[in-house]
Amino acid sequence: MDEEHVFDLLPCFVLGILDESEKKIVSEHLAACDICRKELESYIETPSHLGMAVPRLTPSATLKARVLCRVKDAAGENSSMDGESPQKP
Amino acid sequence: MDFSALDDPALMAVIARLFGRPASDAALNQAVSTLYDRYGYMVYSVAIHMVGDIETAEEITQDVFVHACQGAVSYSPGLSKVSSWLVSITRHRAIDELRRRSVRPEKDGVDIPEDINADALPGGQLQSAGLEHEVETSIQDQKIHQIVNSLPPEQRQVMDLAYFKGLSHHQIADLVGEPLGTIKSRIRLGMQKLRDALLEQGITGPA
Repeated sequence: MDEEHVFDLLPCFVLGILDESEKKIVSEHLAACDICRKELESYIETPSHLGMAVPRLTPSATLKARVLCRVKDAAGENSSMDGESPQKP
Repeated sequence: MDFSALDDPALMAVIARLFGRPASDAALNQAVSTLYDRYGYMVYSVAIHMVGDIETAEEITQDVFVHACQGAVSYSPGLSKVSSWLVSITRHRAIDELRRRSVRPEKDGVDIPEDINADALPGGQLQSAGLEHEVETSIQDQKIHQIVNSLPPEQRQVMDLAYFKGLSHHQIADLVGEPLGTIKSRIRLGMQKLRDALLEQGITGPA
């Protein structure tokens, strides 16, 4: 990398579309560069607004109940997993 | 229990506290119900836009809310808004589904990467099928629509392919028939424009 910073790669980095070698370069640089980390923070929320701009559709009236049911089941599994945590050394 | 007066971070903190506590079923149900009322349609809309069929979009929506509850304890309001976080979870889940389909293609209207038309995404197919019924959107949602729709078309196209299809810039370059450098440049410029416009309109705050 010739430039001092990796500004030009940050948008693609945030989108998760860099190839492995470029991703490694950016990650290693970010670990040591406050300026690029701050620039990265300025992009963190950007991609999700592409998602927020899709046409809004009405889900089925029964979807909410199914979501709540799945959450309840998952919460139950979570709670029983905690209960099974080994107590003995 | 009425959690509707809580802001998003406070609501997530309640969910984090209640999830997995056996005596808290009713309260958790109410808290998640509030979260769904705020963002269920958004999660569903992103899911169906990306995967193109209702059944899978509904599965993804359920998965996203379960994931959000399981991850509530580590959600950090300083890093992103709840809405952004949920959209990100949805996107990742939908891309997993698209990649699964590309490994094991299934029949019946599934939009697998090999069939991608660079100009069309599944949401457009639903619209032409008359299945789209738009939900009334808030002023902020309208602003976001306006900002995204005002991006130059060539930048919007490549950003959509990267974001909604999870394509690498090499794949995008092959698909649209442009040099890799051009694709990288369009994505970079488009993201900069989008970031700056969101900040200018007060939709996102300064980093």
